Parts: sequence; C-alpha cells; structure tokens
Amino acid sequence: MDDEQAGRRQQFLGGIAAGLAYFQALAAQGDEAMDTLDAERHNLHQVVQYGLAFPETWPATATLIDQTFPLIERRGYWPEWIPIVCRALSLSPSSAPREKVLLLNRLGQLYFLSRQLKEAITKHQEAEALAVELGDEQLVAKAHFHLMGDYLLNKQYTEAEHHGQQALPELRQSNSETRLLAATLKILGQTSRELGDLKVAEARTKESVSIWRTIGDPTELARSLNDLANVYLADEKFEQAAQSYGEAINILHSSENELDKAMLCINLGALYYRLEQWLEAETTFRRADSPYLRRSPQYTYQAMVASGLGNVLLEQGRFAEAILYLDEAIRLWHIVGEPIYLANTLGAMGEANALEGQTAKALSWYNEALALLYRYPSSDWARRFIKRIEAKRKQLLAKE
Amino acid sequence: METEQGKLDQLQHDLKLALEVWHDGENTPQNLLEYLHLVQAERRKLSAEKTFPLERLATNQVLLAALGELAKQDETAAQILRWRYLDNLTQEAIGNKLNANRFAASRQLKAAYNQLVQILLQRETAARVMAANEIESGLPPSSYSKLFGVNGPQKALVEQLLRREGPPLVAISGLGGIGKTALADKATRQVIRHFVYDRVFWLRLDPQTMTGRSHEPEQTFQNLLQELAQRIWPDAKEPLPAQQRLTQVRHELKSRPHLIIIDNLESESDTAYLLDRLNDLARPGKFLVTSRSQMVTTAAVYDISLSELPLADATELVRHQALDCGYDEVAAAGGDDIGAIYQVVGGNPHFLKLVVGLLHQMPLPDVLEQLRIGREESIEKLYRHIYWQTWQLLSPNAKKLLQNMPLVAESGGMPPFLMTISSLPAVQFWPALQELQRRSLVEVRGTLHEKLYGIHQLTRTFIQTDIIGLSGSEVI
Repeated sequence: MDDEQAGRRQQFLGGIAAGLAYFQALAAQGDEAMDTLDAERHNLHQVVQYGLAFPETWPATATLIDQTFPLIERRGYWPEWIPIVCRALSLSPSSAPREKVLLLNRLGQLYFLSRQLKEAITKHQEAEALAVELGDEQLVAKAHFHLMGDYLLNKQYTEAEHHGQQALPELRQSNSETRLLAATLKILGQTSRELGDLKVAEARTKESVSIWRTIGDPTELARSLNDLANVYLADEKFEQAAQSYGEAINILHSSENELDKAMLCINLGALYYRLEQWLEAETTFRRADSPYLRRSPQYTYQAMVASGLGNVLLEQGRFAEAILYLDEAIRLWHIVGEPIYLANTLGAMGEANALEGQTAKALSWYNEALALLYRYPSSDWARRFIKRIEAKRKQLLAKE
Repeated sequence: METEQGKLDQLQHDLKLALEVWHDGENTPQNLLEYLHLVQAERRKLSAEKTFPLERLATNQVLLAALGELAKQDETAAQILRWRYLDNLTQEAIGNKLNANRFAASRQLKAAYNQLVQILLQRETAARVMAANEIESGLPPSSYSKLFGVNGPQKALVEQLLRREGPPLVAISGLGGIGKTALADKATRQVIRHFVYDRVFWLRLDPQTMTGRSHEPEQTFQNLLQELAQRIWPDAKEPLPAQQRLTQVRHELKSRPHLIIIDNLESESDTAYLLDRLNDLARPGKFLVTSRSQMVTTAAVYDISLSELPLADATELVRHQALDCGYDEVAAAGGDDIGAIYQVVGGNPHFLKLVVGLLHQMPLPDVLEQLRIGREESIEKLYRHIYWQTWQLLSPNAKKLLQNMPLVAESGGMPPFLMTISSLPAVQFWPALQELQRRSLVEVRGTLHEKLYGIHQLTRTFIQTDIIGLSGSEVI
C-alpha cells in the first residue's frame, strides 16, 4: 500500500467514524427518530459492516449496534442482524470486554425473538459468565433478566423464577435501571401466574404497574395493566380485570400504538362476552376493528375481531350480520393457518345457520368443524370445542 | 377492451346493464363495471371504511358521480336518466314529465345515455393516467435519457410481462454495466400503462456483505419478504412474526396481480434459490429479476440475456451521452474516432459513458493510448484502468465523496448522510455530487418523491480494492 492509498484509507476510516456518529445521534433521539432511522436502515447496516472490519472502529460500532437495538426489535429486522452480531463477536478485540457482553446479550435477544431459545439461553449464559468475570453487577443483572425471559418462553418456570430473583437485588439497588426493574417484575408476575400463585403474581404485577406509572411510559404501563387484568381474570376478579383493561385502553387512546390497542380491546371484548354483557362486548370488539387494523397485515388480530363480533352478534340474535363476520373470520383463519380457531368459528357458523333455520347448511358447518377438530385429539381446546359442537349437532338432529 | 371503439361498445353495454339492475340489490352480479379504475378505486375506499367490500355499492357510487357530472353539463339529460333508472319510471311516464310522446322520450333517453358513457370514458381515462403516474412515482428515477440497442430485447420483455400465460419469472441477465436495470426500467414503465398489474414494486436488495455475496440464500429470501411486506403494508409499524410473513405476503400476491422487479441480484446461489422460491409466489403476477448470473434453476424462467452493444449503437450512445453532459466536442467526434474507442473498450454502456468523461478532459490519442495499455492484460484490467483514469481527473471534493460512497447501501443514501460521511458542507457537496453524476460514477435511486444516491457495484469494487486498498479479510 503506497502513501496515497494509506492516506485515503485513513480518510475512509474517518468516513466510517462520521457515519457511526450520524447513526448514534439518530438512535439517541429514541422513538422520535425511529422512522428516520428505519428509512436509513440499509445505510446503518452498511456502516456497521465496515465499522466492524477495522479494530479502530469496532468498539464504537458495537456500541451503535446496542443503541439501535430498539429499531431492530420493534421493526422485526432480527433475521438480518443475527449474522452481523455473530460477525461482530467473532471480530471482538480483547480490549473491549464490556462491549462483548452487550453484544452477547443482544445476540441472545435476537435468537429469543426468532424463537431459537436454545441459542438464546447459550448466548445469555455466555454474557452472564463474562459479566461475572468483569465484576460488573449491572451487566450480570441484565444477563439474568434475559435468561428469565428465555426460560419463561420455554415454559421452564422454576428457572425463570431463579434468574428473576438473581436480577432483582441489583436492580432494586440501582437507580439507573428502573425500566429493567419494572420489566423484571412484570415477567416475574407472568411466571407466578403460570405457576398458579396468583397472589404473588398480583403483587409483582402491581409493583411493575406502579413503577411504569412513575416512569411515565404509556405503552409499557398499558402492557403491565394488561398483565394485571390477566391475573385478575385467572383469579375470577372480573370487575377488576375489566377496570385494568379499560384503564390500559384509555392510556393508549391517543397513541399510535394500534396493535396494543387492538389486543387490549380484544381481551376486554372477550371478558364482556364471558360475562354475557353482549352490548359492551360488541362495542369493545368494534373499537378493536379500526381502519388501521383492516389495512394492516395482522390477519390474526383481524380474525380474532371478526370472530368475536360474529359470536357476540349471534348471541344477540342478529344472525345475518353474525354470518357476515363469521364468514370473514373463517377466511382469515384459513389464511393464518389456525385450524383449531378455524374449527371453533366453523362451529359458530353452524349455530348461526341453525338459528336461521338452515338445517342442512348448519349440519355441514358442524361436520366440517368436527372433522378438523378430530385431527387434534391431544389439544385441550380441541376437546372442549368438540364437546360443545357435538352437543349442538345432536340437538339439531333431534329437532329434525 | 382493445380499441377505442371496442371500449365504447363494451362500456355502453355494461353501463346499461348496471343502470337497469340499480334496484335489484343482492341478486345482481357484483362485478358490474369492475374493470373500470374508477370502480376499483371506489371499492378500495369503501373497504377501508367498512368491514366488507360492498362491490355493488362501489359501482353505483361511480355511476352517481358520473350522473352528477352530467347534471353540471346538461341537467335535463341527467334528470331523464335518474327518472328512468333510479326512480324506475317507464318511458311513457318520462314522456309525460317532458310533455313529449314516448318515442321522443326514448330518443332523449338514448342521447342522455350516450352523454353519460362519454363522461364515464373521460373520467376513466383521467383515472388511468393518474393511477399510472402514481405507480410510476414509486419507481426509482430512470438513469438514462435514451436507450440504445435494446429495441429487440425490450419488445420481447414487454410482451412477456403483458402475457397472462407463460413463465411467471422473467430475468434479464448480463455483465455488469451492460444496461439490465435501464432495460427493466424502460419495460416496466411501458407495462404500467397497460394495467395488467394492480401494483408494481421495485426492490433493490441490499447485499448483506461488503462483497455483495449473501450469508445464506434463505436469508436473502427472508429479506426480500421483509421488503415486500413493507411495500404491501406501508403503514404497518409492527413487524409481522417471521413465520407469518411468507403466508401473508403469499396470500396478498395471490389475491391480485403484482409486478415485482428485483433489481441487481448479485450472487449466483441467491439467484438460483430465489427463483425457485419466487416461482411459488408468482401468478397471477410476475417477477422480473436482473442479475449478472446465468439462470440456473429448476423453475421456468424467461431469460433475456443482454450482450454488448454493436458499433452503430455504441456510437449513438457515445454521442448522446456527450450531448447530455454538454461535451459538444466529444459529441461531434467522427465515426472513425468512436470506432477506435470501440475497438479497445467494446460495447459495455457503463464503460463507454465513463470514457466519454475522459474524452472531455484528455485528447483522444492519449485516451486511446492509456486504454490500450490497460487492455493488454484482460478486459477486467481495462475496466479498472478506465476507472483509474477517471479517478485521476476528479476534483478533490469529488474524490472525497466518491471514496466514501462504499458506506452507502445499494438502495442509495440521502444527501445529509452523504455530506456527513464525506465531511463536505453543502456548498462543496452539491458540485461534487453533480460532477460524479456527470461522469456516471454516481446514480440516482429512490423514488420521484425521495431521491437517493448510490454507486454501481463495479464502482464499489474499484473503490474498495484500488482506492482504499481493503484486504480480502477486511472485505467480508
């Protein structure tokens, strides 16, 4: 390499550093700059690729990966970032162990998001071991937090509880990790709920809600309230559950967080349905049925809404309208490939036709639903639906 | 509807049917006049407002709007049509209202009806122009003002893309710089005006590595699905779960015809793998792929292979490029001079354009001498030599910008980002950018609404290896 080329190489390194600083500044603006960062993500990708190639720019690049993680996570770019973070780790210099822990945690999160739980646990364990070696308590707590999430998703509740408890003391001591503390309590609440300890679940989730209230993050607060409502629901405290769902919906009312809003309305609608409050259920499902949701590719949510509305209209004796929504739900369940939910809706369609006096059609829908459900003998839901639909079918045949 | 008269006849027939069944509600066909853009647009509007697309309602809304327009031009004509079709009056009753006999009323009704057909046709034509312009505004700006030597391939390509049958995968293959993107662009713009496709998306996949190779073809496919999902549902801020993405994109692509252009597939393994996967997603739409690789795949692909321009087209291109850049003396070069260049450089349009830039600043004999030196070893060496010659003639600011351009993705970068990485303030940046554009070293990408700037893959390789001197281990 001649002097001129060496000079140009130095200038290029300067270009990389400037590019890294450009994206760090965008990432630092948080949610406000998310759309801008998203629009430029291909260039972010490119700068990171070059930044990792040179030891001089590696540490700043690793930090940038950590900083831009919310973009990768929220917009679903994890498949393309897994190889980049793997490459970053393979090139990590021994002089930057802290950054290596950050990247190991992020890689574990990427695997978690891709539902590769074995890999996620391995990476988070590596992060924990290195953080312990470094003697950095906060990093150790973070690794435990991630391991708790991995194990919960893997339905290993005892292990999830263990790692949550390992993380808690440091997070309670630290003033700078209140978000992580709130998130840990939320996941621990879910763990207790899964383990059937509803009192502990309620206490933990309430504490999480209270911290999110202090922090003032409406999305996270609404999500914790949703969890709290789920705990109440499991404990059959229906009124409190409805209140918590309602509060969460109100909190998100003016936000653009459409999917969270839809999910909350679906949950509340289902609760009203269970309580046989048909009008409230209908109103709530209609709130979920927003123009945004209809334009979006979230067919599962659309199917839940259409099916909820179909069922609630059926209960109100508005059969023709119910059939329209159930028909829509059937179309959507077919697309998303959820045979058990599809069968449940086919059963509701049978019922709607039976009540309309269309016996032959009704029997055909019941038969289709049952044929589908018999394929899943080990599913609790399938068995429950079979019992209900078989009873309806028998009733109809007896009437004949 | 092939000819204008054909269109008119068809519309007259269908409009009458649509008006006659105005009151028949659910029992009438739902697809009345659905080939009209006006009706399709109305359906989209209605389905965004309501849960169920009310097809018939959309047709009626379009007819009401046309009647409203007719009323502005001729209130009596509009009133006659309303009496007849909306109020269901007989011709006799209409005659009574007009103080005319049944036959006169019938004549007036026919005249009013023909006026309505004309209005619908005018509105439909305007809607089509608007729709085509809107689709085109989503394409990257064209990188050429005129194309040379591609009439045959262009005709074949357009025919393939307009055919409902035939392979759903169409490819343009050829060497780097040969004009694949330009041909795809030209043909796409032509095809858009035929409305064979409901939607057209142009994707330029960013390679996942600095060399343009991908980590895994499956990863490239997943990235493609991600990009497609973002185009199909631009408002969706939340990601689709990866496992649902394929199902949902597939469902959307199967529900109406899309033309999807995937520009610049670099890797051979990616191309073969992607074509096999895309085969399942295509129909009723088609995929058009440009690639440097040969089409080795089990899927049926209509492949158009581009080769170098013959001398006559190359001569035209050189003159046209010189005129475009304002290099009048180069544009005036004699056929022999251009022939001499062609002898050395060949007919690759990208390199011919670079040579035009050289000719503006160096005398022809010197350029030829330099090129001959470069040509001694191989065509690759010659191309690198052309780049070197071009590089040496650049201003310092243009050099500063160009040497940092590898940091910009294939899809291109916005000016603020380019200014940052080159450390050039606006006052120096814009002239440098113009200089690089004039020399065909920087290309405009993005869309009509948002221009982005990027470099050709050949330019990228030259900067990485020759200008910055990246080693093999650094370029991964």
